Amino acid sequence: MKSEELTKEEREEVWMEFAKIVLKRLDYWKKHNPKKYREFWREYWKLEKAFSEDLDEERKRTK
Amino acid sequence: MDEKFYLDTNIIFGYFLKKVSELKGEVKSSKVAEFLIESKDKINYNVSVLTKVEIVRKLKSEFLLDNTLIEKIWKSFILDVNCTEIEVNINVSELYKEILRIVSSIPIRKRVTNLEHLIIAKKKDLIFVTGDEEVLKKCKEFYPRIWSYKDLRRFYSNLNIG
Repeated sequence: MKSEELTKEEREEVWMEFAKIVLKRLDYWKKHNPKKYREFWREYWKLEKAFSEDLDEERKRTK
Repeated sequence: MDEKFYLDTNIIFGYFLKKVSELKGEVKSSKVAEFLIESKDKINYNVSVLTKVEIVRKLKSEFLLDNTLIEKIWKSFILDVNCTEIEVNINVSELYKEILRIVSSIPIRKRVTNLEHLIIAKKKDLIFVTGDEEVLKKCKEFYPRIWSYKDLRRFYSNLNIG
């Protein structure tokens, strides 16, 4: 089941709207719930780290 | 494009956050988002209604988004990454019998959502791509087609070499 079409421009607008709301929420957390703010970015960087483990390094090790 | 992949929810939310960092003016590299965009024409990605449930819950409860915007965000992701929303026509009783078999055989500490994803992937014969270490380490005896993010990157890297 493919999703109904949204043009590239429409999608960019959607992401822009989304990003504005998320940034506002993050600002709120930064001021009023710093634990939640830190937890949010910790999760983000954990995922990035898990995803960016260097395959070249791995190959060197296994040689 | 023979292999078909079923993505876990974390990877998708990582893509969403790239969009936020772009607007913030931080052109930080996002390995997750960049990989999904780069590989979308060579790798067949799939998600299910369960994936959508998890995303909607997060967007609604944490970011207080309205339903219209949530629906547009979901559609935008599907189109950006050329993803397919698979139909999950699995018998609920059968699904939970399989999960019961797993949790009765090995100690699973986390909640069962990723096991639900695992069974959906199994029923649809898709490779389940996940960052959940527990699923990666413990569940391959129930369904061997479970890949880490690194496995997926390795597969894509080999596709490009070949």
